[in-house]
Amino acid sequence: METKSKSFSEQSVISNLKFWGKRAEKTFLFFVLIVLFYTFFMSLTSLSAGEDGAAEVARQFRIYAVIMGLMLPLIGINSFGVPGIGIAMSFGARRSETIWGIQFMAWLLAIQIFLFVAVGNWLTGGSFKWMGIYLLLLITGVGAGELMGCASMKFGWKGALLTVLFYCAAAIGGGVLFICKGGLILILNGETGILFLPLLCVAVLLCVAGALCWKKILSAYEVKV
Amino acid sequence: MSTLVCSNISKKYGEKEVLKNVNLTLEKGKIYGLIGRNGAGKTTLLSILSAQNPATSGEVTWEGEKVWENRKALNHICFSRELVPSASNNGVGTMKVREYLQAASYYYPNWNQALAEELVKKFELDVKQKIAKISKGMLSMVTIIVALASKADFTFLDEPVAGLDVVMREYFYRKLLEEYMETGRTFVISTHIIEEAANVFEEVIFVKNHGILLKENTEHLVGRCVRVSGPAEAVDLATAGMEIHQVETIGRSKGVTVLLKEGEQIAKSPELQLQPVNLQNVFVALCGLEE
Repeated sequence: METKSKSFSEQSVISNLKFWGKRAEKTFLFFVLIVLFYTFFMSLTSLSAGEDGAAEVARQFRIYAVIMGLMLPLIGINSFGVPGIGIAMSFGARRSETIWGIQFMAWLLAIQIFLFVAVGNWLTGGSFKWMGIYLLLLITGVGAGELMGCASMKFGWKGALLTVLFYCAAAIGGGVLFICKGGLILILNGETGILFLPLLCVAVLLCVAGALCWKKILSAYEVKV
Repeated sequence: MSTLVCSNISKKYGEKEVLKNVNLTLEKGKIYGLIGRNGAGKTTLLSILSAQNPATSGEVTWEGEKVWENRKALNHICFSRELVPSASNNGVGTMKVREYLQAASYYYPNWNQALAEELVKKFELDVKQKIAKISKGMLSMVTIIVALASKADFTFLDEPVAGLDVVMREYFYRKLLEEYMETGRTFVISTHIIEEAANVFEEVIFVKNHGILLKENTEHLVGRCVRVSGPAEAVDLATAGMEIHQVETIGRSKGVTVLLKEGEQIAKSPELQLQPVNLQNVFVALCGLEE
């Protein structure tokens, strides 16, 4: 039977864009609904206590935007993305195209979250620097999510549990620093930005490590659906 | 002629060897029955043939080209896996039937949407249902739809009729033959319901002891298999030196299944009863429990 005239690379790109793009859209919608619901719900609760409505909405939006960023690796990539690998490969997707497919999903999700939060931040009068920190969070999240996904694929539920615990510990640690307004957040917001660049490098390195791990894991992966 | 060849395929899971030096050639335009007992390695073999599972050693080629990571070759191969959905993760179980079929259509370049829709209608499948919520028979229907609508030259089905009622099983085999006649595709069907499918299989492949026991034209195989029964001495005399299986002795009577080689014949005797056997009996004789 003759295959359609599309080149093989073009065919790979189109099928991946459709499959992984759809998964990213679905996950993003799930995130947005959570953020909007909680922002609205929590703002209403605070309003009844007599606080400034707009400021409260802005505060709540930022809190849940951060939560959405934290959910990116755990729920977005690990929970929604990883199961798609087996499905795509069961339909004959190559390992190499599946590696970039899942990364495409992760980055598409991160970009959408960034744009959504950027618009919300702008509407609520937030600072440009805050968006810089948020970008750092998302890049770190993509790398962390990819590594978590690899661990759960390699070691099953034990790997998933271990990475979830590690990630939660890291997120709580980061959260404590954030809440305490310790050195990290002050330096990040400061003029010098001493830590911003090194942290960005760490985040990029995490992403590179994640991509390499996908390559290693998927080269020996046995498809299961 | 287009062929899919696996050469010296071995697969180990840790220390456990599931396939050992398997050599197999699948030709285009045939319906093969892949038959073996549970755990014989049928699914592993199919998944290696379709590059869904890396072999420990050996290679699979399509028209001389390696199948592994080869988009050109993979476009011609479809392994419609038996679905084992779970609602607890965000995998196949949480997808709606429509979404699953749509995802399949993204990857198979010759996907026939009209055929997929026709089959959905015929099977009365509710495409809005989540895969984790549908019955085992309906899961089989979904895998059948993917297999047939993929229009891949080499299509593998793993237990396609599991859970299907007799009406749908008949419909499936009819549709399969229709598709085969129209397109000349190759189908490899792994099944435990042998007798029902025996008429459909042009060739059968028996999997035993981590390898291919035989690959033969179904009619020819059944034709050279015969059940011989009668007094033990007469049976022993008539079948001496022949390949004997499934020996049953009751008192002084004996029954054996003989797999005749080219040119061999059972000498006719009034004491002996010679009975033809069906494919299922051939399989039981060759791959059944060893007493």
